[in-house]
Amino acid sequence: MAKLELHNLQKQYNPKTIPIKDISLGVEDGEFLTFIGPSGCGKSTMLRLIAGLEEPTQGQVVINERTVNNIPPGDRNIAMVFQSYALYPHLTVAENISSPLKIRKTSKQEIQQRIQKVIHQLGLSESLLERKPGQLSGGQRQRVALARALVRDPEVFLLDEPLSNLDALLREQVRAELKQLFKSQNKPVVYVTHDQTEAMTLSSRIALLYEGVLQQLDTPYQIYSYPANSFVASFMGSPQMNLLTLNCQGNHAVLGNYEIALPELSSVPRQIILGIRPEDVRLAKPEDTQTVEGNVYLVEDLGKEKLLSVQVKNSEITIRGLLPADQTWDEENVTLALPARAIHWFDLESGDRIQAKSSQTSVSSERKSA
Amino acid sequence: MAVAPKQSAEGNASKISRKRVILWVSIFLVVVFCLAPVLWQLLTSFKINDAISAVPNVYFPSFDQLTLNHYMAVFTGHPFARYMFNSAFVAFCATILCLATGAPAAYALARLRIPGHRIYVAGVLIVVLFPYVLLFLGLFEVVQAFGIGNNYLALIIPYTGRNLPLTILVMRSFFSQLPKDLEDSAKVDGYNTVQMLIRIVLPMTVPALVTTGILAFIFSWNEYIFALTFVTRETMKTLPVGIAQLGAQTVFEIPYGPIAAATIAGTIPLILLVLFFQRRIVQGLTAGAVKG
Repeated sequence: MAKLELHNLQKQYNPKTIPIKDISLGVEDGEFLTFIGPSGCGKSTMLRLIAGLEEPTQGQVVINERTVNNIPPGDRNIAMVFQSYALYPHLTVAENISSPLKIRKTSKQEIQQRIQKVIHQLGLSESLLERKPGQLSGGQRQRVALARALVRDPEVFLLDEPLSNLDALLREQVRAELKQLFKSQNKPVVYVTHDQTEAMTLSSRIALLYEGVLQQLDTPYQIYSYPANSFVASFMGSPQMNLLTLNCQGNHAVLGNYEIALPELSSVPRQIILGIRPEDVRLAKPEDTQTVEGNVYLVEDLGKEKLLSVQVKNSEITIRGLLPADQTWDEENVTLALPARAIHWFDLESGDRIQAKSSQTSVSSERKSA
Repeated sequence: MAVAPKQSAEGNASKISRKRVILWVSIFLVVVFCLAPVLWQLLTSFKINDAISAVPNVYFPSFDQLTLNHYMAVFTGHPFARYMFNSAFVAFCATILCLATGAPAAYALARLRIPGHRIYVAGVLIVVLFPYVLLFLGLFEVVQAFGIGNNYLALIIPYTGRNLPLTILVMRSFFSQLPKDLEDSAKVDGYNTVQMLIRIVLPMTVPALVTTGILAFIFSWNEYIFALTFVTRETMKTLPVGIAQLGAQTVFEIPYGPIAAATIAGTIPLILLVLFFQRRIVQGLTAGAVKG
């Protein structure tokens, strides 16, 4: 049974500004759902709707089978961690952590017990309790904000980009800790981020939003391997997937002088989008059938790998490929293999993924196993 | 060639020191310009009458020209303490009223999506721009109509109104800077609106409240025209009116000494007030609330 459900949720400020358009989903106990998307896609609004800081124009927010639309945020039994941490500057750390309990008239003894438990859990030292937030480092503030959420033992956790103010090294460390921490909580967690590494590593499922519409809701593996449309394909994965708009001819897509075999389609469109991830592109071996030759005009050294930008012969199209650092090639010209298995096809008009008839069965079986 | 750089170095050194000299001289001049009238009043209040009226001027009196008689005269011959109490009471009430009504108004203007809130703000600004001297005849009629002449209310209400626009403008810009996440966080924590305002927002607002409060208090303490017009009873007069009406024995004599003494004595409470609250006007009280 889903603990948190959203039914046809919509938020509309005015006829032109509709940050959330009809979204339905459920988050189970112990599930870690991440909303990801570019800035302004509605992901933070989503969280504020669940928290009750904003009222939906339509639809319901349901927590534990109770519709909470008309219940104020404080009575929804949710905890939220803000991007800015939002610690009360005039209160000490202990007062900050205990504020949600005090307002609920929890007994002093229990407050003490819970604070002890939660600071132990987060590795906060007791000497910090009497300090003001202004005297803490960024990482400590972040922990205090987490502690304030955990101490309540809420039914749902909401986290709004909690790691974005930490420096890169600390972020990676805290990310791992977060994952363990929320695994032990066994509660629905809704997380908002624009960082795809965070989304991939933390989530059990990812919801990709764009312009208020749910583009895909799936496990990180499925989103990476079977992006539902060209937007998802371009948004997830770094370096970005190559998306090439190609003309179709017979049963082939035309790329410069080369022909790429199309999957079995009921009707062949005039144009189609070919997608291939740079990490799936490799140097051609003699036995490869589907290859393109091109002119290397940019090499970006990433240490472990080299990112090549190749202009395909007799066309304006550029393909980027990620090659192992120890591989060598002719300075100027290179022949790349585009393995058919790694190619994604998208409809030019709708951007939707075109599922090859033959491979459909294999995909659905993989989905079941995932 | 070898001499030239040395010369220029010397030139540089003298240039730097000349800059410093000019800087310090200008600072000195500005300070003298600002403080000279106050100093003149202070010295006058301690000078004996002969020294005050002496030609040429006695700028710095010698020891035998000093006296405390003017202060004695002010405090014994006139209800000076009463004036002070009146001023303090009126200014205190006006300040509190002003903050109590202005701060919530400012919060509403900063936070609620009121349609046309810019028009309200512009309206408030226009009230500030209106020359208040033009108001007092109209207000006099109002005071008469309500029958509150010779009543503290006749001063408290106009002073509150006069200070409200500035309070609203200053507080509004302060509230707009206050991170909204804190209020959202308080709501999620379970505070209702009133609890949130009193326990979370108010403590963070203290510096702004103190700043605007001091401004309102100083205005009310020093205000002259309303106080002169709306209050005629001796026991209700405020300090500026009382000082201006310090009379001498004859019509032809102006009691410079007692006036100076009263002015100084009337300023001391203000100075104490500002010094006391200065410590509360701490910048960066919100440090650490959000990302630092």
